[in-house]
Amino acid sequence: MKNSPSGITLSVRDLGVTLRSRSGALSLVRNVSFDIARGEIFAIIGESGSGKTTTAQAIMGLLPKHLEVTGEVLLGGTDLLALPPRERRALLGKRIGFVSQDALSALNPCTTVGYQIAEVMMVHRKTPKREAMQRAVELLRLTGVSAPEQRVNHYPHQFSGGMRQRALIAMALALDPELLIADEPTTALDATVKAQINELLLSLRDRFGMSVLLITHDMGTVAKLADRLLVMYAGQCVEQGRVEDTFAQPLHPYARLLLKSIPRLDQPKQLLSSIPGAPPPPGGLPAGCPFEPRCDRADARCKASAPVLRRFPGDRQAACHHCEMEAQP
Amino acid sequence: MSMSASVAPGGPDAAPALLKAEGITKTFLIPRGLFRPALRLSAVNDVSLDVRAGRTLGIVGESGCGKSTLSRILAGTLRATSGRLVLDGQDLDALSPATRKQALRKVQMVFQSPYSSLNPRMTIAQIVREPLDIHARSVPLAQRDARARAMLERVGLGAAFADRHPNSLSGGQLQRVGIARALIGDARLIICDEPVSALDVSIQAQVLNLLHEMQRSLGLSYVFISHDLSVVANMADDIAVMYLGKVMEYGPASTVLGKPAHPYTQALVDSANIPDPRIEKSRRTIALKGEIPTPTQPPSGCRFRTRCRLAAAVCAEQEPALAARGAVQHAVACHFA
Repeated sequence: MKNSPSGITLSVRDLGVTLRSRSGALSLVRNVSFDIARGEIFAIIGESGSGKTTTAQAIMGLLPKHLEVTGEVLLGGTDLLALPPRERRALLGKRIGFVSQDALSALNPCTTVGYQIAEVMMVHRKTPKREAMQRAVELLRLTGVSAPEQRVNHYPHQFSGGMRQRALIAMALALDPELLIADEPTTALDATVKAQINELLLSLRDRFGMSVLLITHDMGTVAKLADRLLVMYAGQCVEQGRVEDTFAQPLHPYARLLLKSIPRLDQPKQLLSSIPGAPPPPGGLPAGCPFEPRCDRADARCKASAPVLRRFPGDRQAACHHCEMEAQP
Repeated sequence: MSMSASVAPGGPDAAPALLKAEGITKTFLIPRGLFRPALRLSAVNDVSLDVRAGRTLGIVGESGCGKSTLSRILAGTLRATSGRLVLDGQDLDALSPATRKQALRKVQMVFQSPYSSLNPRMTIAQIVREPLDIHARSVPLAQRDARARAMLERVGLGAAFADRHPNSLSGGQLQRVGIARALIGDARLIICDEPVSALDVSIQAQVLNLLHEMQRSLGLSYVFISHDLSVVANMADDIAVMYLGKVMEYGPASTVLGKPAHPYTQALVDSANIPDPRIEKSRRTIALKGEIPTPTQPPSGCRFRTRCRLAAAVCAEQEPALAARGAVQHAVACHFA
């Protein structure tokens, strides 16, 4: 597996996504920066509309052309955003694997699952078909599909939801990528199947030292899988750090309130602490801090100016005017 | 009287049952063309449950376990193939169609998707008022409208929302409208089918809290259906765990989630992630083998045996009955539990 000497697999710098139209520019994602180390599971967590999927798609170059992507996406020293589309595509397929939420629409219903996995190797590596199909069987076995010799000749509709997700992961792994981007990989799955896929992702990291960028809204999954996390709100990063630190002592009020508002299996029937209101739409950001209208600590300063992302001890970052006191132990 | 009814949860704080479901079975026939016999899909199979007055019965299970079919039967919108429903001491099947309809007004539903369960062409006030327009036409319109607006106020939507249309409200606000509509009549039991699974995390708590508050102030009973065990833990007093149309475990929430006895419940509890990395990183999930079999061909004997870590020969031959275990309040359908 290829890897840059620094041990950083992916480095994203000042990523921004803007929708430009005649009526002006609408910022969907701004100032998102993070590094993913080799063998690290890095989670981007946020609610719908927070920009987490847009960020992943910007990295993969999957956004429609009318969206302007700015910043740098460095994969082993190469800036993906600066590459011509053809070179970029060649690189992406080989070095970054992508697993989407909806496995059924990501698979071609008209060809066998095995051929779809083999095709990746036939196109990128010019592997002969027979050999590629054999490798597809191995990949299905690796991702936990039972009876892969038969399964390889089945069509997507013959697979169950969990099996399809495994097939998609097998396809993403076909070219030994350094990085797997998984966008809500378990959201559509049942609880016991979700646990199986989570265990699979953990074992892939442990066995191959693969890096994973996990996009999710589920704090439980983050607690289980991720080493570090980035919390997004209204298109920007509000907190970043190690999962243990953020869960134990969140710096940003949004992260703190969000963690408190999640129902837990180990807590009985009770009122939850909830966050009032709803996230702002992209065109309706408040002048100051985007979380100010819902925040329990908001004051005049938060209304007047948007806080910038600042560094805190323990390699943490947060964008809040009130963070200083909370950073002290 | 079916067996599981006698082991209904209760104990010292036992509240009387508002709704009793006894031996509910629902079989769908799926046509397979002219010359082949229809396929029998048994979606709900001999289910007996009590919904206690002022309490919440949580029903959990994965897709295809029959929880949504059961919810429709409990709400009276779908007739069971066999079994009976006793609401407030009245056997619903013994009533004439008109009185049955009258009695079922006490049971209302809140649906999963607020976007598709509210008419986009009506105003919010009209949507909430509609049950009164149908069932209480003798009441003057102005009075009905005032009641609808008061109910909107009560669920946290001010006067400003009353004359807007659903498309200008967020998912959380729409779910409040759905709750207001369910409560406007004289509802005593609300069937909530995945009411928060379409909502964002920060909105989910608002809606769950609203349901808590309404239960406390109005003494409502809930049937709360969800695939998310953590959400059910937050809402339920009693829990029934379903698998392929059967109840596998039934008892007080604290027992079912805290000391699960059925291997399937244990797997469900084990697969739920608690948002605490110290807990989650230090344990390994014992992943269940395989996936749910198709309900048209359930396994012989115990339906869970194909995925069960305890499965033995007896499990293929004999279906375990839902039997009381230890305390009378707790019932488990397993040969080995």
